[in-house]
Formats: sequence, C-alpha cells, structure tokens
Amino acid sequence: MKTDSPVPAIELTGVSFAYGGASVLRDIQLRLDPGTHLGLIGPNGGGKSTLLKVILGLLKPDAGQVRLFGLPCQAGRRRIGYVPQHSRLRTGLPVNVLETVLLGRIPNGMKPAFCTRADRHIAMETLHTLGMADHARRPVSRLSGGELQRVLIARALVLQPELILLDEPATHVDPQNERGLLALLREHLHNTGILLVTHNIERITAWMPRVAYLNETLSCHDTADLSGQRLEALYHT
Amino acid sequence: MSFLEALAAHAFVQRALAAGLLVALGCGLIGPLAVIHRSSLSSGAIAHGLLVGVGVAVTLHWPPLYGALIAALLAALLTGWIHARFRQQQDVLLAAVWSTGMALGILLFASSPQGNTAISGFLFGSILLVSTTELQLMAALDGVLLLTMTLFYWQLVSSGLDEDYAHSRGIPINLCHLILLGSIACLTVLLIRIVGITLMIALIALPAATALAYARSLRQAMALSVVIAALCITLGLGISFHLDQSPGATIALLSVLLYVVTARRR
Repeated sequence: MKTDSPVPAIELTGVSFAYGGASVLRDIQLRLDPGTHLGLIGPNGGGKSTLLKVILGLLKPDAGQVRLFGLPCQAGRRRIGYVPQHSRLRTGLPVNVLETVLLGRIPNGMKPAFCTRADRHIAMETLHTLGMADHARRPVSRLSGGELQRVLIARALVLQPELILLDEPATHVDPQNERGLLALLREHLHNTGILLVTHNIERITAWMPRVAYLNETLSCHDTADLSGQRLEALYHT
Repeated sequence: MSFLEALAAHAFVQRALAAGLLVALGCGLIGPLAVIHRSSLSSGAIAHGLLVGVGVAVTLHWPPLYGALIAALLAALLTGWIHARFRQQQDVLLAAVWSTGMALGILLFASSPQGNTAISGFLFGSILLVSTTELQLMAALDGVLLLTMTLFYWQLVSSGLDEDYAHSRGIPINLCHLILLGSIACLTVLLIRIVGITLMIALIALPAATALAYARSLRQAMALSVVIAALCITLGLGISFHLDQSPGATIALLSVLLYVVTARRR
C-alpha cells in the first residue's frame, strides 16, 4: 500500500538518556517532517542540548531509537547542519573565517578531503548570505560574539543541509543583533528543516508554527494554542 | 675556516645542513598541528620513549634510526590509546611512558659494548655525523608527512579546532589524534640526529608557536614555521661551528630566543 507520509527528518522512538544515575530524557517520542520548523523550549537542565546531542549521535541513548531521514543516526546526520550552543572552537589560533566555514565542507569520516574551487565558492556565497563575505580573510579571534555566531551558522549552512539544529544561536549576541540574526535565518532557511533551541519564547512563538517543551519528558504544541498562561503552566508543571 | 668555507669543502657539513632543512620541513608541517592539538606532552613521551628502540637497535647492530622509528610508532600507539581511554589520568600515564622508554634505553646502552659514549649522540644530537643513508630515511619520512598532511589536513584541523563539531560531522576524533601522533613519531626520528631526544620538543613546539602568533591562516603558519625552523637550524649550525659548541643545544636555544622575543605578539 502506498503512503503519502514523508520519511521523517527526525524520528525518536522511546528515547531515554541518563547522566550517571540522573535521568535527563525519558521516553521521548518526536517526529519532525522534512522542511518543517520546530522550536524547542524548556528550563535550564531540562535536557535540550542533550537531546540535540542524542539526535546527532554524540551521546548514545540508554533506550529507544533515533532515525534521521529514515536512516540510522550515523548515516543520516550527514544531511544535518549543527550549530552548538557553546562552540569549543579555539579562537586564539590563526584560523580565518573562510577556513572555519570550509571545515563544514569536509566529508564524513576519514575520506581524503580537498577543498575545491566549488567548495570555496559555496563558502563565500554562504558568507555573503550571512553578511560576512567582507570578513572572509579575518582571523576568527578578531570577531565579535555576533560575528563569530554568524560564522558558525555559515559553517553549518555551507553543507547545504536538509535540516539544521540550532542550539541557542543567539546566546552571545546582543538583542539588536539577535533580532537581525533570527530574521536572516528566517529569510534564508524557509526551505530547510529547523530544530531551534532557545530561551527566548517571545521570538520562537513569533516564528515557529510548533513548539516542543522539554523537561525530561517532551510535549509538542501548536504555537497558536500556546497562550502566555499555558506556557507558564508548562514551566511550572 | 668559516662555516661557509666548511660547507663548500666538507661533505659532512653539507649533509648536516641538508638534514637540518629536511627537519625544518617536518617541523613546519607537524608543529602547528601539534600545538593546536595540545600535544606537547605526548610529543615528549614519544620522543623519550623511542630511546628504548635505539638501545635495542644498537645492541642488535641494526641501524639506530630504524629502531627509533619502530619504537616511536609503538609509543605513538600507546600514547593514542592512553588519550582515548584514560584522558583524565593521561598526564601521569604519559610521564610513565616517557620515563620507561628513557630508563630501558639507558639500561640497554649501559649493557652494550658502545656503552654510555654512544648514548650522548642520541640524547643531545649529532648533526655533523648524519650519514647518506640516514638522509635518505629522513627524506622518506618527510614524504610520509607531506602525504599525510595532503590527505588528512582538513580532518586534523577540524578535530584540533573544535572536537565536538568534528565529532558531529562523523570525523573519528581518536583516529585523527592517532594519525597526528604517528606523524609526530616520524618527526621525532627526523629530529633525533639534529637536536637529540632531550631537546627535540623545542623544535617541535617553538617554531610553530612563534609562527602561529604571526600567521593569518593555518597554511601560512605551516609555511612560516618551516622558515623559522630552517633559520634556527642553519644559524645554530653556523654559530655552533664558530663557537665550537654543541649544535643541538645552540639550535634549541635559538628557537627559544625567537619564541621569547616574539612573546608580545601572543
């Protein structure tokens, strides 16, 4: 029998994870279709960053299954771009913006990698999109927090992913730049699936059609149904 | 006789300079990545661990550099395993590798017919005694390093700069680290005749650290690091010739001096 249901970009079935004995994720069920956008909110320590790491295969769940685009995690994550919350990018080194973005073009695994003219072209185009093309030769150590965040987003986008995971992309950005950054993402990622982790509920409800609330367990809600009172109730459940 | 006259007249001085320039190429290729991966302690453990291989080779009348290469590669494997499995305790465990290799090497030399006189050439360098066969081995090792960097440059840079991101892209972090340690092992064999086991860490880390302060990209840092290492080795060779001092110590001191003079840039 033929089905119209697309292969989900992310499919989590009964995923649980604990650090030591402390449960962080419990029986998580999540389905995100290709090209759709989902905001992920929840209190500090609620497991948001852990969930992204489990999706990417950086952490192995204690129970349950993770499938990406219908494939096991290790194979499916090739189609995903990731912007970590606190990048451990060592900024004191003479790595320039273009080199950092080109790191996103490296194939998975240890297949010998050569950056071609086409890779550089895509990297420069991506930097142009994010307003950073003029900074291509600048060392990343001389960038402001907002500029560095744009470079890290460019590094994720240069892969031309079908889905992007953004973990607090505006953490080190002032409110004005945050608005600009989110508007830019909104403008250029309308065809790309997004899973956006944020604390800024106001911004997420203005952009995302659906929001998932995570505090060890996960519940999904249509943004239109989320009144301020409902949100407050979620946070205090 | 000046250094330049000696260079024109004597094959052993020419071989010494050629060896120095081959080593400079190796230092430039690997040094910046060793600094990025914070591998100075691992480099020290591999460098000192290889003395046991030299001791075995001398005892069995094999070419010492072949013994050094085998021991250095085994030390790199051990160091990589420690990094992957026991990261929290790696300082102590690397110190154990460091001392065990040295201690066994010293015991082997002490019981060999050449005794302690032969060991000093490996501990402090003997650049003026480099043979043509050793030069060929050094050129081959440079070739291996060049090939490794050509094939895996981006993976090694990615895993050194941002381990989490590299992991999320499916780059095997531990394998990258092992490839780097294997490359460092080759570099230590290149360096053993130039500055010796005790001083080689200076040429692995310092020209690279000096270059990293001035370069605007990693490739620029590698190129600059080659130039700085070549400068230290050539000048060190010349100065030691005129002052009748140890070339290894002079070269190491020059690289320290350059690093200190450029400290304000860091």
